[in-house]
Amino acid sequence: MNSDDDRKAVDGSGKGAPADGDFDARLARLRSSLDERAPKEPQRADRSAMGGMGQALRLGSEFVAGVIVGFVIGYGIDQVFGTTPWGMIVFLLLGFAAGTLNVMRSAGLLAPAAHDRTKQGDGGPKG
Amino acid sequence: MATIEDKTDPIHQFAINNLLPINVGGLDLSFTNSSLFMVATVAATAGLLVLGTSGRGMIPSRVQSTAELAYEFVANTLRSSAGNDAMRFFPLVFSLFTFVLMANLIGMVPFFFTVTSHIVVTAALALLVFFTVTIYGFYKHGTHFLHLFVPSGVPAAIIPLVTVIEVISFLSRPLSLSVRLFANMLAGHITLKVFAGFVVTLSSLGAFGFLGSLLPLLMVVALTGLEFLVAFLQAYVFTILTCMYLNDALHPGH
Repeated sequence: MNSDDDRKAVDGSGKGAPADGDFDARLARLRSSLDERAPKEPQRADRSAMGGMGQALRLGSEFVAGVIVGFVIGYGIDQVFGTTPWGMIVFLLLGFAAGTLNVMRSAGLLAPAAHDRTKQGDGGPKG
Repeated sequence: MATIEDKTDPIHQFAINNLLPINVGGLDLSFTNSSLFMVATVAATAGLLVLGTSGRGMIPSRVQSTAELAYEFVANTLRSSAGNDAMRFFPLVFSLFTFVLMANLIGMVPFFFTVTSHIVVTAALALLVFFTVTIYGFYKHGTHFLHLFVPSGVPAAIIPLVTVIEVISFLSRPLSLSVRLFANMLAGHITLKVFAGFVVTLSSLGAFGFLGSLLPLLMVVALTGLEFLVAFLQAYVFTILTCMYLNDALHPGH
């Protein structure tokens, strides 16, 4: 941080300023987008208060629920259309993906609203 | 010997007995011990709240401040996770919270039945939330509600795949919501019963057994405290997830 300020002071009169400013803006944009992707602090505090047992049960049930729902949908499709193993295979894999998504969301590793993030990311560099 | 085995059977406490057989057109609508404790839960909750709000003292009595505490707690949770316009769902969320909490706490009394340890009950509660969210979402936003399943910033080529995964994730919510509450209560009560069973069987083995039974007894005491925590925590988790799902219905992909 300190060296950044020094460089700005030196470059302030020189020609290198625009390129440097551009770089700083990109760095700021990267930082803000990384911050938004990072887990929210209050959520994490909530979860650590719940204890390891509660978290394990929660994440486990999230994951298993995704897989089971995928299986049920696939099995239902097989019964209706007579495509016996294929619907179950495909939807079991999709259910696995959905279960992983559930776990990552409830662990706070993935920001829930992707829409906000892109909007703010677009607005950032203009300022 | 048979009596001891009967008493230490950890599953026996979840058995459903018909108290008042009712049969309507081939449907078994009997009044069971589960029904009895659901009625007791509702009666206890309603009684507590009516008693708490009847005084309306400037300086609240103990019952009144309990009722106010419950109201403030649920209202703050709902406002902070779903916004001010979610307060129209406050009656639903408050009823769910108090029902689950009171059912869990009543289940902690020895020889009482735990309503929330049966997946039928928790699944009914979770499906109520699920259908409320889905129907209100479509009623309020129409097809815009479907934007919930299409995250922006995804390459067009994989949008169908991502949408299917998001739909499965959405459908898995009532399942995980109901399984979590039911599994926590079931596992907790079985653990408690198993350790209590150790105390009974060990203490019938003479002096050494009697001393040895002190260890599981201490464990039972500790687990009882933990179970009270779990009873409250699971009611809270159920409530906060309900609030988050309602947030999706109110502001899909805002």
